[in-house]
Amino acid sequence: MRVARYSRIGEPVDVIEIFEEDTPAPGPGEVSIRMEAAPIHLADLYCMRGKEHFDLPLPAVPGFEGVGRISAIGDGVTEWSMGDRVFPHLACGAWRDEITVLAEGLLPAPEGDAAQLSLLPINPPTSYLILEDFGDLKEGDWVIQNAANSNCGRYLIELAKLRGIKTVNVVRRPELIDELTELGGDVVLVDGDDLAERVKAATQGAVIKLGVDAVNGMATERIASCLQDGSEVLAYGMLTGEPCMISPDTSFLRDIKLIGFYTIRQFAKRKPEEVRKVYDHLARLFEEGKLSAKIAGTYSLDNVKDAVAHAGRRGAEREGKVILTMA
Amino acid sequence: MKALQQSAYGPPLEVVALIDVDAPTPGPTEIVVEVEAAAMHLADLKFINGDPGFRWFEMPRTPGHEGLGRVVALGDQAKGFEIGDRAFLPVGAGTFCQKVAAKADDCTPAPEGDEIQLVLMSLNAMTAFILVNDISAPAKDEWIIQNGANSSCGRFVIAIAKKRGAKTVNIVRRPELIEELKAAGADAVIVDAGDPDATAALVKEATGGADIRCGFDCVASTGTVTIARCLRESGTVINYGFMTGKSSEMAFQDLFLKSITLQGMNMSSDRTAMERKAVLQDLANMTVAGELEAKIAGTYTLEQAQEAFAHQARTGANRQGKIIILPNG
Repeated sequence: MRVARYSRIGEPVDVIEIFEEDTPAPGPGEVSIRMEAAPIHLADLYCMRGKEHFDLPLPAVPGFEGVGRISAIGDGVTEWSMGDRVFPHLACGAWRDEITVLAEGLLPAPEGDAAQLSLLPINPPTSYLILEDFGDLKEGDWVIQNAANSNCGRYLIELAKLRGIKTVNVVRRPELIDELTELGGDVVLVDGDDLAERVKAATQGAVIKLGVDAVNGMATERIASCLQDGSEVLAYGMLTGEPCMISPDTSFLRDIKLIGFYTIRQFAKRKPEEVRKVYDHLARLFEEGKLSAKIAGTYSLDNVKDAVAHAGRRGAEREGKVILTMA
Repeated sequence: MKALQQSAYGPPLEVVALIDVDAPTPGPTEIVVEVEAAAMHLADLKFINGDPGFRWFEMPRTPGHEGLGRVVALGDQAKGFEIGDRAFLPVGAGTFCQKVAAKADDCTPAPEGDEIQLVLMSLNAMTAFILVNDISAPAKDEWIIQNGANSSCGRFVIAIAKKRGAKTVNIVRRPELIEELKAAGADAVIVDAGDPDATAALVKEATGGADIRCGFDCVASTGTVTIARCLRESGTVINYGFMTGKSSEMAFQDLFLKSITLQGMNMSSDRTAMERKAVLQDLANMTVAGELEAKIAGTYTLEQAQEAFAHQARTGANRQGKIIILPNG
């Protein structure tokens, strides 16, 4: 089987290599999974580049998530059968044909397009938990987010729509306005210094109860400037790598909170059965065609260098998520 | 009587004048207080200069947020005070003048004692009290961290936390403050190393690697980053000031990898007006008992107001504490 691995830090296209090796037979309590698809996230690229806080022990196999089917079963494993579709554990190193892991903690995956499904474990729960756990959001309430065309941003539009929550979506490129409106965004605006005034005009002065920021820098303050006093900005991404800026007016006089949002920590506040329920819910939405990602391209594992090069481009040069397929 | 009058936003020399006006007479539910001491704050200068976010007022106005003095006149229906009693004026009363009328219900009885110290209770000491007891509420021996530790509020935080049995680690910019703040009750004093990680390492060493849940930031800019860096997972930075005049910064690594929250201090807190009066009296009693003591940089009369504003505008070692106005000499 093939496995993608890097043994030194550098530009992903230079350091990622394909190796041929045997799949270890599953021991007691383990299963092997034949991978079908795994996405390339920015975090995978950060790891290969050795960005601060993303440095894994080397050598390392990238791939935080993916989807596959059970291909071998070790002793004592009763809950899975051959051919069952599963999501492997997060950060398992999914860029390979086959992986042998503990059966405990695997989540069942529905049928459907493998490339789309491979994105289900990470981004959809992020968007889902943001809307579920913050802002006390009810039908008709408004939220505002930037990076609205990101994968999380698009899921957030879809998930908000399903709950009757209205979204203001901030983007950097005007050509995204129609696209995100079609996806279900109630208001789509291009970022800028006068954002608060334009949001007010576009929403007829609606009270906006929650801000979601993945851009950072002054973009955090611009999101905060659109919110009702006393509300929260969640920072869940770091597209610019700048610190989040919050003015004294905003925190001190307007009582806006800035909260770091990390999906895994948010899940840690739930019991395992509640986490499972979230995943079941999202899997069902996927099956019903209510959750979809924008796929920029799919690449065979053999072409992993092309794939990481594509994933490293930004905005209009990338146009969505890059997926590795192992079929 | 004499009063300072601000006629527009601008430099104090241009927009603030000493004028003669009629002394106020009390409305039915009001008292008139002859001001013994009025505190000056950085915010007073900002409200005079009309800095961004500090243009709240109609002109002309009398500056001065905080003051206390003796009751010299009573309205027919004013309750709770007699002539000669000492009273704290409500915050924002316009205290840089000789006499102020205010609703009796909004005033708080003040104890006998040093008016120059007592006049700082309504804002700086109240802020410190709310930060320590209402917002962070540390357990006995629990550590809290703050920057701007040599500010009036920072010093009150040290004293109030100590009384509660909590420990403070204090970040300052000047090494000569270490001994001074330790003498004031600080458990640890760290000179900012200029880099959040380096400062956090010093804090870790000074506290024996304590888990710090809450930090107070009155510096903003990278000062906020440093406080966040010193906190444990899911900790909270409470911003209550902005000495740098810049925005608070939060590094993504602290937000994301540690789930740190940045929140402003909501001065209104959850306390009723009655409870706040009780807190104010407690703080005043602590001052009388010598448990709270502010560093006073200088006292000035109304005639010396321009010198007082110039002194207030200096920072750090060039100011050395609070400026107090003594309107009746």
